Amino acid sequence: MEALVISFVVLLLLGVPVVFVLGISMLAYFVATDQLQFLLVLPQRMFAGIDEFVLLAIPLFILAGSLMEVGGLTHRLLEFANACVGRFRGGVSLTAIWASFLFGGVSGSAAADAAALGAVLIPEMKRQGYNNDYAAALMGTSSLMAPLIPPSIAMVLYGALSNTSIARLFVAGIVPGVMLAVALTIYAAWVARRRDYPRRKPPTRSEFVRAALAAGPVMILPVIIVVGIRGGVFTPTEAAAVASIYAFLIAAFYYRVLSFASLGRALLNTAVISAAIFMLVAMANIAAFIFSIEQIPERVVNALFSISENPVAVLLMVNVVLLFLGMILDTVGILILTVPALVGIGHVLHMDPVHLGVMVVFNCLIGFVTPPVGLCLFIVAGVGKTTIDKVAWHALPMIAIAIVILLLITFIPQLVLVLPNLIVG
Amino acid sequence: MNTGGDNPAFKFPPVLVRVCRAYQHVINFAGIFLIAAIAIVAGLQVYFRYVVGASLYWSEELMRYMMVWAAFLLAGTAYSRGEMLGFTLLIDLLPPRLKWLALLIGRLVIIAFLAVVVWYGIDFAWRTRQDTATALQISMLGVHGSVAVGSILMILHVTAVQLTGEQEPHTPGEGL
Repeated sequence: MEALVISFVVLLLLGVPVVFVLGISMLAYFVATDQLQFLLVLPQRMFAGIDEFVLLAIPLFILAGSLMEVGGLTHRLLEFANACVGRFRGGVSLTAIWASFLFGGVSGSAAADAAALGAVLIPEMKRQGYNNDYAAALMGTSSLMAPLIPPSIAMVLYGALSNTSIARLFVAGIVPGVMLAVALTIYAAWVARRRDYPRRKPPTRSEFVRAALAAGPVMILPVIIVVGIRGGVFTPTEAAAVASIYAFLIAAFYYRVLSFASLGRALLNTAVISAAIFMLVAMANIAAFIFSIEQIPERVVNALFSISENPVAVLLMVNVVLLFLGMILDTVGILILTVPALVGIGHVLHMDPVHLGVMVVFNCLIGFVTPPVGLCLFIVAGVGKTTIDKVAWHALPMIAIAIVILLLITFIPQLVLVLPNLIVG
Repeated sequence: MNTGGDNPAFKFPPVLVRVCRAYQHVINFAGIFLIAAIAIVAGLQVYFRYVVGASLYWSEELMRYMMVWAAFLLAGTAYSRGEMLGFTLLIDLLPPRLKWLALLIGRLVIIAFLAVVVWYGIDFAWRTRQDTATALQISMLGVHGSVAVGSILMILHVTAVQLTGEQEPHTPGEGL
């Protein structure tokens, strides 16, 4: 076990991609414990790990998002968000928040959200006299809503790793997503008042209708997904298939912007991103094998409960550990390493697995905007042509807001469970 | 695959550059084809189950195996495109020579690991050559072989990145 931990830490610090860090430390474990007969397990577990029907939802949801993006939806969602909130003080910053919210209903990826919207909105906020670092920080934090609003790749993965209903997880992310959007809106409006940021003149009725019609088909997508998998009409994979076919039809025939080249680009991007995620899942399946031999989840649970048996203290510890992991690992890596132990903890605390899942995913998401390695911070700093530390400074109050929401959804399960109980049953 | 086109430090001979480009074209095409096929078959499955009322018996298995192949065929490309993220904060602080050394050591270990996976991957695929897939009735050799093939491709990509210097920068907008 020491060999596993040591090689994991050393390789991680050497900058080796997490997927190989996982694989190599598992190999180190077999070698150090002299269990070479298990080496045949490596390819077998890798194959079995990704040979799962439910995981097909991941490429299909990524494809739906990519198709919508090459179909020019970013621009249309932005126009619509602007028509709704642009008239208030700090209009463009509120547009950034609500466009992110809408974008989340198409893409399940925070990074895609930050890159696509940031490229347009950060320069625009700067042009209107906003502090550039503040603009980048707001864009980065807003992008966290994407994996909370269905569809969500992180939720599919959590559901697959923990055998939890993906339909319920999807719906359960909506309330926390709305809470984050509203809280950020209040903060951005307050900042805009203090710094006297400009507003835009309200749109005329016909402008508003035009923006709504242009964005309408895009906003129907999450409804199709939720309605589709509600009560198990579709499996998540089938819902994802319907979503990508719908996205293709909209881009090709409603917006009429899809060329063969852009279709090819969307498909290739999907294949490459999915390959990276699937390799992680493949390695995770080797890890799961070793974790079960070594009874890691049981040990972690025992260790945690030996510190305190108070559920509040245990959940706080879990949140702190996940926030820390979020600073150095990406979401997929964290989920893969922690889900087996987390399921054990949830079991002891009698937590609803959906509540636990949303809490864990939300927690991982905060890692996207915390230094030193928040992926979304990198993206918005790149787009805004500034540095991570400057953006991180401006992101601090927003991270605090996100942590407050995390605590609320951790200790008030009804916030998370009310919608899935109501809609999915 | 990176062929060192813009990198003066090391250039592949022209023949090899052409081979690498042709290879990348083939892989890209395979990725595009497989993902498109998965989306179409998934659509057909929904159509047959909910509209026609008769489920396809082969669609689920076909999609799973196509996705496994897509994942292993494109994994090397994902590495070259910087999609496989790591914790690079610490080595970025090192002086260039030490950073180079750290990356080299890391990549050598990756290649050694992948070589083990190739070795046992071939063994694994060969042992199951007599088994046939439940619905598709093809030999499992052609399905399980993906692990070894994908690992060989990853070794090639890691080697190419090491020889030509930098990885292509991570294109934002991808990943989770």
